[in-house]
Amino acid sequence: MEEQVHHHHKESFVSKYIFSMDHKMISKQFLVTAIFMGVIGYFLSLFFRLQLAWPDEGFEILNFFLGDRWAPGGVLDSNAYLAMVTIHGTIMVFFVLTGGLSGTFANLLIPLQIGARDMASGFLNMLSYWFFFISSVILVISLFIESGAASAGWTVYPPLSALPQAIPGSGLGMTLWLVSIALFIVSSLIGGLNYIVTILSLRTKGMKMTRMPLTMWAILVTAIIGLLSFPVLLSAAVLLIMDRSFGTSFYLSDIYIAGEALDYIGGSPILYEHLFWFLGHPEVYIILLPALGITSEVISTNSRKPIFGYKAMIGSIIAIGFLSFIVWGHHMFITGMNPFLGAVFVATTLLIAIPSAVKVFNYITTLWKGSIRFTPGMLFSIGMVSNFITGGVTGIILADATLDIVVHDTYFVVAHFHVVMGVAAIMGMFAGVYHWYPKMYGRMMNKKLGYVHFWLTIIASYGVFLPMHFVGLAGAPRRYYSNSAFPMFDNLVDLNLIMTFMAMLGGIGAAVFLFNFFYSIWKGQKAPQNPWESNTLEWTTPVEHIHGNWPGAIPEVYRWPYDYSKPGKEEDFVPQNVPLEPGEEEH
Amino acid sequence: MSYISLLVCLLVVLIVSQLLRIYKITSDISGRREEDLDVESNNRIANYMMLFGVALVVSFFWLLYKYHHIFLPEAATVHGAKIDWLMNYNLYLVSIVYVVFNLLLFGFARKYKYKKGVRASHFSHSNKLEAIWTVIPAVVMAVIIVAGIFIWNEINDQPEDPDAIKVQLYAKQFDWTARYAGTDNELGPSSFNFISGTNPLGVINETIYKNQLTEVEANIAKMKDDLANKVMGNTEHTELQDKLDRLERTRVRIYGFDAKNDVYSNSADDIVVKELVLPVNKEVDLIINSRDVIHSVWIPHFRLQMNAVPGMTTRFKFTPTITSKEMKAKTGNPYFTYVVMCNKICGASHYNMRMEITVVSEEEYADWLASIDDFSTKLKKLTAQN
Repeated sequence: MEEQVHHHHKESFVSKYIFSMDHKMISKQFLVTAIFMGVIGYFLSLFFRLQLAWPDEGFEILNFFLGDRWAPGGVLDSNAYLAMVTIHGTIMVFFVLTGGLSGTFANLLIPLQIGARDMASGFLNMLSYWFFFISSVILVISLFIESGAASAGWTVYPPLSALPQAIPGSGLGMTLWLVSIALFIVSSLIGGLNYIVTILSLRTKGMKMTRMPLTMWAILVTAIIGLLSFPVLLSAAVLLIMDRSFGTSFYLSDIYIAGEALDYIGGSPILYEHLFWFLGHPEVYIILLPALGITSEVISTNSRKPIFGYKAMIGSIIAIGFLSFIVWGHHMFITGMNPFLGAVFVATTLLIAIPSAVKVFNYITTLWKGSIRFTPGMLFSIGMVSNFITGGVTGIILADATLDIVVHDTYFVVAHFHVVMGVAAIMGMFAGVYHWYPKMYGRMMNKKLGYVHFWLTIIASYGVFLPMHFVGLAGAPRRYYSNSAFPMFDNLVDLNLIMTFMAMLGGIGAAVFLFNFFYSIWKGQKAPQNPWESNTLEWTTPVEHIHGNWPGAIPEVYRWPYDYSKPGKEEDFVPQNVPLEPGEEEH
Repeated sequence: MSYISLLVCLLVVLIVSQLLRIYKITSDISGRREEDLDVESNNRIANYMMLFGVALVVSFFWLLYKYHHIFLPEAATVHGAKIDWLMNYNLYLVSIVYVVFNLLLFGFARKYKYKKGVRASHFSHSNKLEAIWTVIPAVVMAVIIVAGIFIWNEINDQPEDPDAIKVQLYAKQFDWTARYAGTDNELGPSSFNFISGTNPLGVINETIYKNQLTEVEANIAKMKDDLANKVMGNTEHTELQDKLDRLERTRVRIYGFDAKNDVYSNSADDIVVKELVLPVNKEVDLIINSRDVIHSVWIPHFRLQMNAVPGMTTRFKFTPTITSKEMKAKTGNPYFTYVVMCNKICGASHYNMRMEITVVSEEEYADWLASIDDFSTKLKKLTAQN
């Protein structure tokens, strides 16, 4: 086999840092962009949490950031409130937890963990990042336009999102939102194709599918889900653009607004909901699976134990991936959808609890009789599993059409999905960042600051979202600018205060992380080759990044990635590229 | 003020980076590395883990103890009581899983921390264990699915009750309007093409048909006149032309309706109001419509939620069981009212869409109904005024 190795040939700044086709650089580009978007997303949430804790009170800081147009006298305007809620959701769901999480770790880990020189197509990979970048920029720009950013909620249901008469954000703001999301989908499709092709065809010798680390399995299934569901969102968006700009009636019918009857006849907003949630629900797993994959890897390494039930883990990833396509209707129980259809979706939705429960049991059993090293990555992984449990069980209530009548669109839902796909996934992402930082930047992050970050984050996230379940059970609807019209919610004031204070605490935690992250790029301790004594192939590459990843031949793989504490071995880990000894069994 | 806080932030960053520098220098001198296992700190974190797991459980029960009073009071409808029953069992299950598994997770983290000389086990799979924990959740889920679907069907497949009170709940940005079917218990036909200031629901009858057509035609004539003779800018001209086009298409649609139709008389005794008054223990058939964007009827005390979707009709049948007066006594709150709120984001005043509901005895209901002018009477009064 001919090995082509590009040693440090001179590259211009532009081709190395900007239009790079090297997967490791593209991964860092994704990560830094996502961090930047995450900071914006956090501040938006802080702004509307201020309004929720102290309704109608003026804040200098709001006026400072938003100006007299959106926060006259420091009081958040109610249209601006809805815009913040919408853009916060869009940023966090798409730009941080989809683009950021998959983009960072798929790009970094796929070639390194399967033993490939780079992704199948470096050019497409670069394109994927730049589409992502442009769509991020457009979304951020939409925050600064005069009529305001999109404000119909992150699900942008028509007619609200289709008619500027209904809400000012549905003018130019919504157009920019749609353009941004369309570009984002293109980025995600290009990236996903590349991930799938690379994993399926560029594995090194001996890297059977059943010897791949679980991160690879998670990313593979994620990419397949994305490839099958994002085009549906794209078509939903195209039809919405047609309705908005070209007078079609796909989603609109029988509308009388702003003093006149409109022409739309025969369309249905429910059609949009079906199309949206056909992506929208798999999207949850597009977010969650990579985080679960990362967590599997980090927990196994730091417990010094094989991940428990490797094959069952693969099975549940595939099962979750499959089931995620037939459950979208649980977002629509009370839309007037046929109740029989509702019953079907109850059954399929609750089925997802089974593979999810298997995963949780397997994580806990992996800890059992381990020898746990609490690295920051390990702490975030445990935090991730805890949030996956806590957020997962409330899903049982929401999946039940009968109970959904009472909790649909209340803060109970908000709490549920923030815990299970917001906090859990972001914790998985943090775990990945701490774990693979030495691989990305060749330096170590500061451990002590990592601990501070973890404790602040987990206390703050539970501090925000545990009380939020209670607010939801009190019947309080989400996306309310203020509860002042309903005296029955007067007694929620102190819980709202707690949640806002906790959100601020979480911000401090994130600030610690940001500082640690950027400080360590330049000032961190130089990383050794295999800091966590891990088995996977990425730790056999040199610390200093080179094109083609390995200076010599790509190592051959002889065993699965979880040979930790194998009896009869001196070390408590055996890297995948170590040949089996005569008579040694593989598992 | 903001600049001072910015300055403080900058100062904090500086201080932390200096502290880090000291930390780094001492690390370099002592040979301490980030990836090295510090057993003492590892033990400490293991204890924090357990502490956190316990704190998670304690804070849950504390919240439950301190804030259970904010939960919705007892359900005031027949189906609501069933939902509450199912909800309680589900909440017990959810709480148990939450407590047990978080304790297991954090407890194991504490128990199996690194110990010198103890090697981790290589236990990597067990078909028996895995089969057990696939089957157990499968069985639990099966029970939940069956119970849930059973009640779901009970709520949705109620037999047609001819005596049920038909009430249309009509949503628009940003308020609710209700229409009672009156003595014939049939709602008159309506269409968005007939909506006007005096006819917010677009109810149709012969007079309205005529009036609406006259009004639309007068408007069309006026717009044509303006376009021909009035001096205006280009954008203004285009906008007016568009508006004219739309109005002309509205006229075409109005022509599509019959000028006379027997069903029009159904609306004569309809009652259009801005509040809901309902008799206790009588089935109500709620017919839900919207004229602009999606809204959602959310009546927390009735455990009732259903979207109002423009272009289609949704329904929800329920039977109130507790009068407002009784509920005031039960909650100990003299100001208690049942209330409809909007629970689907619908615009700037989404949070202000409110309509009061009063549940009364059947006699009181009859009195209330009699005290309000029906649709034809109102129309006559309006015509007389003009």
